[in-house]
Amino acid sequence: MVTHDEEILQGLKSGYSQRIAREKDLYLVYNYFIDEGCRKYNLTRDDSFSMYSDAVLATIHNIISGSFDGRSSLKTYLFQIFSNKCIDLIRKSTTNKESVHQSAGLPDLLEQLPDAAKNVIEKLIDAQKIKAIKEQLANIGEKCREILLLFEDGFTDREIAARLLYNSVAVAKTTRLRCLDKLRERIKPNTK
Amino acid sequence: MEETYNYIEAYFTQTLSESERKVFEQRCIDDEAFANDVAFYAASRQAIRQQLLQQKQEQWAETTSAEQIQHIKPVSRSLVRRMMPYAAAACVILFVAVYFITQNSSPGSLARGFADKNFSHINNVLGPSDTMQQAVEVFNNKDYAAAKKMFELLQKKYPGDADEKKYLGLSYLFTQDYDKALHEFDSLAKMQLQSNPGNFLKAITLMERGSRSDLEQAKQLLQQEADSNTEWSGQAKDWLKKM
Repeated sequence: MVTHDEEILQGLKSGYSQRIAREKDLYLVYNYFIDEGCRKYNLTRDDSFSMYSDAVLATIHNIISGSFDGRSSLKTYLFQIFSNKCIDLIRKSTTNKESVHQSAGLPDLLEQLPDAAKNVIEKLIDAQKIKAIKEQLANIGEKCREILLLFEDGFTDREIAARLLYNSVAVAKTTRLRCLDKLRERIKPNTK
Repeated sequence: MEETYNYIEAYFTQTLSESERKVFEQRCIDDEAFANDVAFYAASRQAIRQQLLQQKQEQWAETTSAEQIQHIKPVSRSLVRRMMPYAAAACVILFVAVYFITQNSSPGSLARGFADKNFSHINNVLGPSDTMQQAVEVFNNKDYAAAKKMFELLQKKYPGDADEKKYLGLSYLFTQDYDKALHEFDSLAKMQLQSNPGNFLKAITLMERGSRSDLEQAKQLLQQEADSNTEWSGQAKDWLKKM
């Protein structure tokens, strides 16, 4: 099992195609957690599946960014994230049934802000806004969509520049931020 | 606006100094326009992440190859459940065996088998950019959909490169995008090269697509190869006997 963990960890940090294959391996090796989610937390299969795939993605990004320090096994680490997500889902749906869909999916990024600033920003974001942005992602052009998704998937601007044939890292970054602005322009009429 | 996003991103990637972070946090409270910018940035990252997750779920849910199944730890719940993957694998092997026994002499399977054996690996090439190396790596790992995209970009940037045409055509062939594969191989066949695989690859593509007119056209191309004493003449003669 240790060897298998090492294979996955190395693969995730390797080139694109290796990474894609290992992502799938990671997903498949522990997908019995989905049953655990149903049994242990009484979630529906769909909810447990969502929490599991979300946890796998978070784990992958933590491995790539170097946040996973390897002190625990991959299984323990992934299960901890999965378990936290399940508990979070239950907490949200039991404490505020009315607004569960409003509060679900608030950006994890905001956890970095101190409470006072976080509260201000949180009030400006709701599920509708996120949904509107997601819908508009389909309308900003394939290239923009691809560059934004690659960045979100943990690729650096340098890797994006090499992959999408931009002349420099700076061009890739400028293009990406312009795409973000394009997305914002698209949602303005809907969110005002 | 880019500068603002750059600044916001610097905060969330923790590249600001402690004092800069404090200024940022205070601005979120005092400056409404800035708070809106931060809210949009965070909301868009979340929306993109949701989209990415959806894409990954689709990728992960695709049927796994036998090779990948070897890596997977089975769920130990009950004997029946433990045995299910083996039973499924046995069925797949049986199906594949029956399929090959009955199909392996058709022009399509001959062509596919030959292409898999001889054209599915690109040896180290000196390409015009790092992207070429990346694309070759992706191709060799059999992620043809991704390789296709990368070779398409390279083709736009460096049109007229014979190797790229060949690899792009092969990426199309391996993703069963036959029309585009034929277009690339046709264009390759018209190039002046010391050894040009264009027509032979066109024949392979036509054999794989397999309509009656495709097979007729493939035979003509194979005959040309057989007559002109190329690298692929022997194979062309062999197939002509079987078709």
